[in-house]
Amino acid sequence: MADFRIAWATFARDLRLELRTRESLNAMLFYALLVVVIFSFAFESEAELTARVGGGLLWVAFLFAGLVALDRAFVRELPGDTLTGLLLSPAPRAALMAGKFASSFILMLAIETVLLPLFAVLFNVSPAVHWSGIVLTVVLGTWALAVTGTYFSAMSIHTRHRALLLPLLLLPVVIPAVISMVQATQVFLGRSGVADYWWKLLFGFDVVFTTLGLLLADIVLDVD
Amino acid sequence: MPPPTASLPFLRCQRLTRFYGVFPALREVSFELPAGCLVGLYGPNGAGKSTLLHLLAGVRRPSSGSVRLGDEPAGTRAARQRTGYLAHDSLLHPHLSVAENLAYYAALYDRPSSAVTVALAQTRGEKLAGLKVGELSQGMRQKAALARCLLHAPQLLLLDEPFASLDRQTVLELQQTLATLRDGGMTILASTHTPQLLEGLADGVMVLERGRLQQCELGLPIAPQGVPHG
Repeated sequence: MADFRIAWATFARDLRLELRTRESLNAMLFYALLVVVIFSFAFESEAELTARVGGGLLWVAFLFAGLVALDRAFVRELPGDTLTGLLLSPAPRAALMAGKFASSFILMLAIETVLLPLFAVLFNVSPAVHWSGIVLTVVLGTWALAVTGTYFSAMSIHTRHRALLLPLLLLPVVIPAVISMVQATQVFLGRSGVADYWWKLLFGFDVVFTTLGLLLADIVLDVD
Repeated sequence: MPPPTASLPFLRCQRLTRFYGVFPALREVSFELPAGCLVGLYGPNGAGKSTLLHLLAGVRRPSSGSVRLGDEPAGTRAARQRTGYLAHDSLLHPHLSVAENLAYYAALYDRPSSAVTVALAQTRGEKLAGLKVGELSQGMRQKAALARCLLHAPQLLLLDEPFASLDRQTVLELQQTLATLRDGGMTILASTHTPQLLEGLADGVMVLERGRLQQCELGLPIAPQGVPHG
């Protein structure tokens, strides 16, 4: 119960800080809009083309936006050296990490909620596509990115080139998840059946990396 | 966890050494402090005062040697629950109010949210609750930071330059707060460049120079082998 309280307090505090400063949200929205709008200029808005490449385009935008949120997950603790305050406390590191996972996830999901309808309009996505399937894929895929990205954000916080290091660490690890997200989204945009296989892969990735992230939180959030 | 017994050493350091790379910031520092005393930690810049406080608080690990709080090694969850550490930074987020910051720390230390009001009252900082930390003066920020340290009613309070950049009135208030805490049984170790600020208040003195403990009164200096000098 105490662990849940710590995770919830960390989650609520991070969201409060973000709503107050808008440091991640503004940058995320800007990057994501930029990618979607520029691609909409490059590709003609044909439903057939969207069915072929839309999944990839959508996840490029989500991934770019997500990297901003993930980078901020622990950078947020640098003003006032609050990271030291967290590490000084007896709070279980897994509870702190769980709160961070959740806040990164919600921030990414918030931007994706704005972006998905815009993508549908700009890329002429048919209203008849399996939207609930796309939404579930977005939720599972975003959790995969949030969990792995937040963990690597903690790992890179004390490095000099952390903004560069985070994508370098993150992207190779999330390749299986990215393939699953893109393929599952593609299946639903193309109305070409079900994506059970990709969902299972994505769900498995989520379970494994959430468990690993919590188990290894003590290592990455350790004192010097 | 039972409160420390006044007659027994509460804080015990043995042959504490810390290197930064090849630079020895602290060398073979050994001492013991009983419960309920206030000890001044003096020394010039670079003497190792902050490093010693970091090791005691569990912010850093020693390269060798050990620290024990009662029967707990420093850095364990139980030891962290018993330790308050006032750092150079406030460890409070500038975009949150004092009350919001303290409420978060209360959750981290598994304390009820009512502990925030108590801690602010202890530091005479009740009026700071609704103010954003980024908008506080240095003195106000120090009060808020001290309230953070006191939230979980620690048995050991470590203060790194607590009087730095404070005006006369705030210094007096802080001195009174420290005296009250010490009289309440808290063990306090405060580093400062100005020994006069702890005059009449400190029960003992520790002097560090170039990483070595040169003087230790009240706290019994112990030999490297762990045998008290007497």
